[in-house]
Amino acid sequence: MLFVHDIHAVMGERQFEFEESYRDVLGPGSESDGSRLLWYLHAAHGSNDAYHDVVITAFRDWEAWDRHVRRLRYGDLANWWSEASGQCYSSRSTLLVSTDWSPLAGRAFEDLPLGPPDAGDRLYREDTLEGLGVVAALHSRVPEASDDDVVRLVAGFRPALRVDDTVQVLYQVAPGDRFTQAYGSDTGWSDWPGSLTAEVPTGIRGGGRYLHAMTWSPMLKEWS
Amino acid sequence: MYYVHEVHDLQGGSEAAAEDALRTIWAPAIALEPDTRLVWCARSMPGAASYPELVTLTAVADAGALERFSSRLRDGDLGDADRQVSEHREGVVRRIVAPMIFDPLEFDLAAIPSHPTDNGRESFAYIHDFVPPRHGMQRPYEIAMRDVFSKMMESPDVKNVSWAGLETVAGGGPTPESIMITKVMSADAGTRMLTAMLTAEHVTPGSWLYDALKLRDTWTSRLLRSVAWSPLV
Repeated sequence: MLFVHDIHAVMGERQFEFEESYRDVLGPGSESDGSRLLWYLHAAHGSNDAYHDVVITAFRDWEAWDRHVRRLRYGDLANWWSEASGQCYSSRSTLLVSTDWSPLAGRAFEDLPLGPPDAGDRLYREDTLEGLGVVAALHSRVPEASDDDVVRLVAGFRPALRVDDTVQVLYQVAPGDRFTQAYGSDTGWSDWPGSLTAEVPTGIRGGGRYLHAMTWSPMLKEWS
Repeated sequence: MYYVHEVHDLQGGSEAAAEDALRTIWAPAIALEPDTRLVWCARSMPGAASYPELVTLTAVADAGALERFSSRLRDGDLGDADRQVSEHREGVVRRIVAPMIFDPLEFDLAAIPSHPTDNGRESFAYIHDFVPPRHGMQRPYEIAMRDVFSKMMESPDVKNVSWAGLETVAGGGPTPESIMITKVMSADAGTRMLTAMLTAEHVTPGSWLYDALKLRDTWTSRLLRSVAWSPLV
């Protein structure tokens, strides 16, 4: 299975139109070319780049990805994408594979939900970590789920065309008081319980963003 | 008043040493001139836009003081201190910034300690925004921040406080660019901002979120928390 991770720098005044357009064309129920949109996430104000939307889409295999590329370039999605991309200042698209330690690793494409979900907790955190050997360094750091978790791993990805120097980690953020208590406490240089980077590994740098999953994101689920 | 604003890029494993070098080497070296002080230092919080990193604000009384700072950094003792700090960091991005007309940051420069230590005060979270305006809109944005945004922040429903309102100046980095620092007065206010889900109904004419789009569009927020020895919080 492959994944495409898109970051769209959406024009602020078009943020809702852009999302609705994405939902209506590629959202729940759209799987005609072996692709399934998993998450559509808005940037939370107060975190990283405002009006940047993240979309993560799964592809059954390289052939499915190739079909999707053709649809976007010259096929039935071309007109839609020309119009939708006109609502963005720029987009950055990255082909990813699952890390060995990702909860999505080994999961069959057919088992991914088509959505929409019934309900779910919607705050996510996406960390991008860079440094040679980072994927392997995080392998031994995947924590067991705990009642104390403030964040919980939902997916780990690495670029399909890079060596072991970049990894993207998607967490779900605990709802309610647990997040508020963590936010209000000074943990020094340490991350919160549930993170793979309780301490940032030696030689590694990172960047994070807090994101709201749209209610129609098929992978949305309750914190449990 | 000018400020030298610095973002210190660190790596995993170097955080504590870099923080200690800023406190014990860099801040005292700066303070050898009476009109220059490191006044604020904050570290990246979990999930921040870039981490690990430290952000410092050094107050410089006037252009003459900035000239001496520059000379000492290029060819003098401050250069030695900078090289010692650099042993623990990947790089530093330095801006020269000045207060905007609504800047609320006030303090007595002479009262800022030359050798900062853990002052035992509560640490605070900050939302540190880097805001490029739309072309030609920096002055209208500044006025709107004074007349609309600052007043909005005075509402008892808003638990955050506008702590500093600065902008880069000629020769000081990306221009125009507003450098905003908002102090988060309660954890609840901080998480409410992150968890608030905006819908089209929230972004209508007359709302700040709608009207401000005419003045600026995207911006970048750094989520920070003051270190225990930061002179100002």
